[in-house]
Amino acid sequence: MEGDDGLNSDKVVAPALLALHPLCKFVVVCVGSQLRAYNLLGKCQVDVKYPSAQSRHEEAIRTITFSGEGKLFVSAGDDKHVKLWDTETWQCTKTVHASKKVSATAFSCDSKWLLYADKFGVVYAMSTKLQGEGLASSVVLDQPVNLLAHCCSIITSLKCTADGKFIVTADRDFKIRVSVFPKDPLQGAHEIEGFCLGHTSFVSCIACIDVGLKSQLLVSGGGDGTVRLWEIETATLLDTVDVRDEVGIADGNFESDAVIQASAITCVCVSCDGSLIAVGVESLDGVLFLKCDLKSKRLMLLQKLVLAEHFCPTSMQFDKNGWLWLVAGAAQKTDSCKENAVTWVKVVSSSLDDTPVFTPVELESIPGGSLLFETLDGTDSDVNKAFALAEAATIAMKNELSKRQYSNEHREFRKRLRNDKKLQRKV
Amino acid sequence: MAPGEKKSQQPRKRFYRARAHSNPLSDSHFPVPISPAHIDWSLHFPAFFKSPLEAESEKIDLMHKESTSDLEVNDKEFSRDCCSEECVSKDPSLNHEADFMENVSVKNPSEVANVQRGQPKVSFADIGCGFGGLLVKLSPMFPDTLMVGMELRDKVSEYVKDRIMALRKENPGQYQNISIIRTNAMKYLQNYFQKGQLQKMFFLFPDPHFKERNHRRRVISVALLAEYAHVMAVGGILYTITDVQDLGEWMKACLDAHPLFEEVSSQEQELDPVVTLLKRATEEGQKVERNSGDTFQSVYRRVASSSAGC
Repeated sequence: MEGDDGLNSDKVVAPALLALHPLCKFVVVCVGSQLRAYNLLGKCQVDVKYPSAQSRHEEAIRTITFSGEGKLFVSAGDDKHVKLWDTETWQCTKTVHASKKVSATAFSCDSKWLLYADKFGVVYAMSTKLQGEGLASSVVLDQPVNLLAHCCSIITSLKCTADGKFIVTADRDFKIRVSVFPKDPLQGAHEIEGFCLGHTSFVSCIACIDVGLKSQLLVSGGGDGTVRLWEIETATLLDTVDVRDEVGIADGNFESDAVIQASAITCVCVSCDGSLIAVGVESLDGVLFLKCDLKSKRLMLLQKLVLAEHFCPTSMQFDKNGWLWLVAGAAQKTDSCKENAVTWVKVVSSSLDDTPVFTPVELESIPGGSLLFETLDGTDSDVNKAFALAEAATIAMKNELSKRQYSNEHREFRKRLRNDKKLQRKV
Repeated sequence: MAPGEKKSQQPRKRFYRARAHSNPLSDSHFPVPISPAHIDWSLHFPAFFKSPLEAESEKIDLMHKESTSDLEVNDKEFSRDCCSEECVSKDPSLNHEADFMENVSVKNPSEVANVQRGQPKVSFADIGCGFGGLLVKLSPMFPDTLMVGMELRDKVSEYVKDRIMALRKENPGQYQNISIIRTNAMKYLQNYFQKGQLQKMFFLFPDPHFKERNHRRRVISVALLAEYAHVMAVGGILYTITDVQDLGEWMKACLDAHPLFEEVSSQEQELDPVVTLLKRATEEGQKVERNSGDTFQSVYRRVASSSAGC
C-alpha cells in the first residue's frame, strides 16, 4: 500500500446511514458501530439486543437494510460481521463471519435470501431461515455461498429487483452488472443479463424504481457527478443528468484544478411512486430533487432544497407517505479507539402535486417529536462537526473508490529507461 | 523473433522485453472505452470499414435523418472536427494505445453505433495473446473474420502492434483482420464486446498463479466465466490450454462447474482445425514443444441457459 494522500488510514471515517421500515414502523440510524432504532408507531426508543456484549459491531457499519415486508433487518460493515435481526423483537438472530469487509447487503424480493457483497467484489447468498425451521434439505443453509463476483472490484451497492428477476450490483470500475436471479441461489448466479456502462467514474449508489412498470428502471449516481436512468432488462442508458451543471458548484474548482474535481453523488433514493428522486451530492448542503417522468423515461431537475447551513446528507430514504428522511453525519475512530460520532436527522415532506414543493416537517407532526431526534441524533449533534465529518467521509469514499490519476508526462517519465522507448528515440 | 522475415521490417523482441507476469488485479492506468459502442473499430481494421471520410459523410446524413429522433447529440461530448482530425493526423490503422481510446471515447456512442450498424464485428478474441503467434496463424485461416488480441503487458502489446503493422506492410492485403488492444480483459471485457458477440475465445498458456492466495488472479474462474459467457454467442467455442497440470485441472473444473459451458467431444475437436493450433501456434506452445512437455487443453462450447424459457 502506498501513502494515503494525507488521509490517515487508521482514522477510518464512516458516513451515517438511515433505513426506514417499509411500513414506517421503525427508523434506524447507524453511525460508526452504533445502531440506533426508533419505533415510529410506539413512539419510543427501540432497544437493540445483541446476544452478548462481545457480539456488538466493533467497527463501522457500512450497510443496513430492511427486508421487503419488514420482518428482517441486516447490518454489516468493516468488522466483517453480518448480523441478521428480527424486527419483532430486535434480537440479533444470526451472525455470519464474512471473510472480507462487507460493503453492501440486500434481501431477495421474497426475503428468503440475504445477499451481501464484500470489498473483494464477491456476492454471497445465505438463507434467512433460522436453524431448525424445518429445512427440507440436509445442506447446511447457514453457510453463505458464493453467488457471483466482480473481478476484484469493490461492490458499492447491491439491489434485488422487486419482480425477483434480477440482481443489480454496482462497482468502482464504472460498471453496473445486471445478473439473472437464479432459481437456486446455492448454485450461484451464472447468467448475466447485461452491463449498464456509461459512468465515467465509480458508481457510488443505485436505486431501483419498482412501480410495476413493464420495464424496470434503475437510477444510479457516480463519482463523475451524474445521475443516470437505466432500463434494467436491456441495460440501456435512458437519461443522464449532470449534477455539476445543475448545481453550479463553482468555488473556482473547475478552472483551477487540472483534474476536474467532479462532485461525487453520495446517495440516491426513489419515492414510492417512482416519480421523485432525491440526490445527495458531495459538499452540497441540501438535497437535489429530480423528477422522473415514467412515461418518457426522462429525468428533470426540480429543485435544490437547502435544509440548513452545513447540512450535507449522507443517507436518505422516502417513506410511504412521501416524506423524505435524511441523515447527515459520520463517525471517526480516534486514536484512543473511541468513536467520534455525529449525526443530524431531518425530515422533509413534499406536496403531492405535479410540481411538488418540499418543506421541512414540523416537529409536532413527527411521531414522538423531540424524543425521536434525541434517540437518533444521540448526544452529540454539533452542526459543524457533522458537516466536517460528512465531508471527510465523502473524501474517504472518493479516495477508496477512485483511481489515482497520473499525467501523461508522468507515465512517459516512468517508461524512459525502457528498451523500446530508447529505440524510438534513436529513430 | 519471427523466423524468415525481413529484419528491417519486423519488430525485434529484444526491444520489447517485459516481465513475464503482470498483476491483473491492480488498478490499470490505460484508457478504457466507456462501452462497446464507444469504440471505433475502423481504426483497428481500416480495410474492413469505410474510409473515415466516407463514414463522416454518412454520419452527417444520418444526423440529418435522425435529427428528429430522441438520440441526443451533445456538442460537448462529440466534436466531429476533433475526431476526423485524429483519423488523419495519426496512423489510421493502429494508434498509440495511450491516446487512442481517450480520443475515441469522447465520441457519441449513438453516432458510432449508427456508422457501425451492419458493419463487421470482432468475433474472435485471444485473451492474453502474448506475442501474437496465434493471431498471425489464424489470420489467413479466417480472412473474413475480425479478431483481436488482448494483452495487459504494455511492451508486449506494443510488439504485437508493430508486428501486425509490419506484416500488413510486407503482405499487402493480408493480415488486415487482426489487431491488438492493450487492456485488462479480466476487468474490462464487457467494455469492448457486446452481449453474444464472440464466436471464439482463446486462453492459451495463461499465467498459472500457483499460490493459493493468488488463485483469484487466474484468468479462468467460475465467476469470470459468467462474464465470458455473456460476451460469447451461444454455440461459440472457448479454448484453453496450459502446460501446468494443476492449472489445466483447475480450468476444466471451473468450466465443468459452469452451467453455460459444455465440453466439446473429442471427435468434434479433431475436426476443428483451430484445435491443432493451440499447441503449436503460440510462442509459449513452441517452447513447451521444444522441451517436449505435456499440455492440458480443454475446449468448451457456450450453451444456452436452461432458464431461458422461464
